[in-house]
Amino acid sequence: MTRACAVAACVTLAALATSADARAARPKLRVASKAFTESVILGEIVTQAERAAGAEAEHRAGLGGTRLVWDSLVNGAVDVYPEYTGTIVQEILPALASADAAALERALAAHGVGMTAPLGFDNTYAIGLAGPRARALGVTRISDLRAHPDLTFGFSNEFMSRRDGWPALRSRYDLPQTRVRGLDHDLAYKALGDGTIDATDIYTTDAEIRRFGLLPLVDDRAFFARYDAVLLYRLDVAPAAVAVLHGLEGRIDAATMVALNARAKLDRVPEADVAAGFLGGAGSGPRGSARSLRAIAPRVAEHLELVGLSLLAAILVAVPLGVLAAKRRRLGQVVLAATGIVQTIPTLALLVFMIPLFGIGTVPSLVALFLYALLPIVRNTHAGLVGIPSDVRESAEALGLPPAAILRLVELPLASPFILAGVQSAAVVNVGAATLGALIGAGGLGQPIFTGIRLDDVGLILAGAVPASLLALAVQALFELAGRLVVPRGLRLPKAR
Amino acid sequence: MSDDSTPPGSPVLRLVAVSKAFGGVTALDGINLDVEARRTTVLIGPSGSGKTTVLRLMLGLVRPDVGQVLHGDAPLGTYGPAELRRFRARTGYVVQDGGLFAHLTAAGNVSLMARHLGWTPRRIAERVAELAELVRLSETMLARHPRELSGGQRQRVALMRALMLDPELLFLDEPLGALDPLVRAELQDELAEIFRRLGKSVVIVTHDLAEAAVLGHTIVLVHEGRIVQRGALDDLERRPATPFVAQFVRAQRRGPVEGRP
Repeated sequence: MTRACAVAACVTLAALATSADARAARPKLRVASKAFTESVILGEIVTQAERAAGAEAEHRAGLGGTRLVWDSLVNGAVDVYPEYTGTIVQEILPALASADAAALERALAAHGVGMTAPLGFDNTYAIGLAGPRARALGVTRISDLRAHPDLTFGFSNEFMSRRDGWPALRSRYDLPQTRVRGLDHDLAYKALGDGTIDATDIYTTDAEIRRFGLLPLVDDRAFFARYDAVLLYRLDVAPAAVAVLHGLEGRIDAATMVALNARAKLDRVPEADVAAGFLGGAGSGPRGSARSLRAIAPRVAEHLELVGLSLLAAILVAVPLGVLAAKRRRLGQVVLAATGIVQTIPTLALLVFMIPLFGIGTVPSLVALFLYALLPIVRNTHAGLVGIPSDVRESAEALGLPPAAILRLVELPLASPFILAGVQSAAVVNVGAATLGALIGAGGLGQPIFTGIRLDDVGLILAGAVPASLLALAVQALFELAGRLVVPRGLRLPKAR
Repeated sequence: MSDDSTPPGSPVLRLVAVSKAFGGVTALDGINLDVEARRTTVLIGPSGSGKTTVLRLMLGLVRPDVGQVLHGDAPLGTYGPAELRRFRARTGYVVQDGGLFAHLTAAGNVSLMARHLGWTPRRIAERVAELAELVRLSETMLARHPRELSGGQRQRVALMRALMLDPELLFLDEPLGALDPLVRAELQDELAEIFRRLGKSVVIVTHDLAEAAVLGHTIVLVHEGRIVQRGALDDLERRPATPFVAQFVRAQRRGPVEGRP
């Protein structure tokens, strides 16, 4: 039976690998954007402009952070995405000695990447203070913050950790504030609104500057670099498509971008329609439907596919691994340690590791979820088998049963409650972890959740979060039921009388 | 090899100068022991004296460091895995506490090996019924899982499982050790009767001298991995080979030991 499991596991993995090839072979121009509204709008503008020029283009909207999208570009999983010059110099190519355009172009070309001229606006960082608070304290410049050490800062997680972010800003201005925390950029505005924090990092084209009455403080020591919006593209993109990208240079000034952002975030117009409006067209792009609650069913289906397939593959691999770990003690330690290490890798980091191997989309998400599901199943299979008393095992041996029959007829049935519990915890964890698949374009219920967070749309967040919770409960219930079918009656706890 | 024609008393299985250590600690030291055909040999001694190790050696579950276990003329050590399994199928083994499989019913435990060997359901049912009658276990009990049975019932099921394939050898490790005194006394008499009727070559491990006297033809006293004396109870009482034998017999005769009044 062990051999049958191994064969089935190979078949499943091979099927996954083949579908990866099928996805990679698409001839379409693949446009990507990062998980914030402006990037998604720019991505839509590029996609629709390419389509208007007759190219086939698709938009992988709202992928995870800079590193993830850049890696996807370099590895050929996507072809184009909007980026900012400051991010390129500070984050992507930090080793770059000089920041002049020619040096930048050469450095990018070394990665097989080209860059357009600026699109027309500089979306740099600024520190935004709640307006009334700023007036009460008489603060207008960043250096004024030194006199107010009690202010609470809430910075986006990216700003907290990047080289040109909070640590460097603090040392440049000798800022004394200690109450500083990281949070999601879009949540920061809510926190500013209800007074939980006093200041956050903002972008100069943010629609919220007006909405929340923020005061961008003057950068009086010229700390922040320029963040001119540009398009990065692979040098192997067809020349006709590249021409369309260059056609967008200088077309979008700061005022236009603030207006486009405001239409998407404040007026709740789908990004595809915002982009279409900018390009002078009409009509709704295919992503417009992402905001509709009725569009949840396909997300649920994607989510179930992610959880179900990864779990199935994990069972087929992890149960034999657990058996092996129980039978070969030394090897067992290695197997348990290895699967345990996988578990400690943060999900997003694991997804980034997957990109060079599997690109973006469903396959790398499946592989990551598969790896996460291994540990609980291997560990419980191992524990269930090792926990069988030695006299029970010797009784089976003394009957004259061969080892394979002992495993099948005695050991696995006795360990089945443990194994099932391991599969159950893997399934419940994966229902949650699968939401992160949306960050690398795998869809699922994470998509409405992250779009909802980005657009500050509570309804959309709930449209993803509620089904995800219900799914977790359903999985729990399903395993209670499976327990009745799989676990032999003699091993179940007696009913309370 | 032996069959029913083997005269009672001739050796079926022999331990020849067997020593065995676990992790540097000596469990058995130069043991010579014959399992006699259709007689009951009782291994007795304080706990930790190496009695269970003798049974595990005789089943090939562990191998001797020194010496040989001979089955007829063949050393068990020369048996391949399949041969060893065939030998075990001809040997019944009841571990301490029964060692029943919790996921199977009593009948499922008893018939597991027969099902694996492809016996017909009818043949299995007949054999199970025959054994149930022998150990006086009702049909209702056969349908129960081990945790729904009493200690005595579990031991009866374990005995049925060991006897299912009608083995030539039967090993029992403290078969009555965990039972309360009344059940224990009753089962002792029943076991003695069963062994008489079946005429198997039996080895029983116990630490209770009175039990040994009821069940065994030959009593073998083991102490610290060595056989210190063998014979009938009478020999041990009247002609103790060492001061330890005298002390052991005196301690067991003196009063309530291990739950016996």
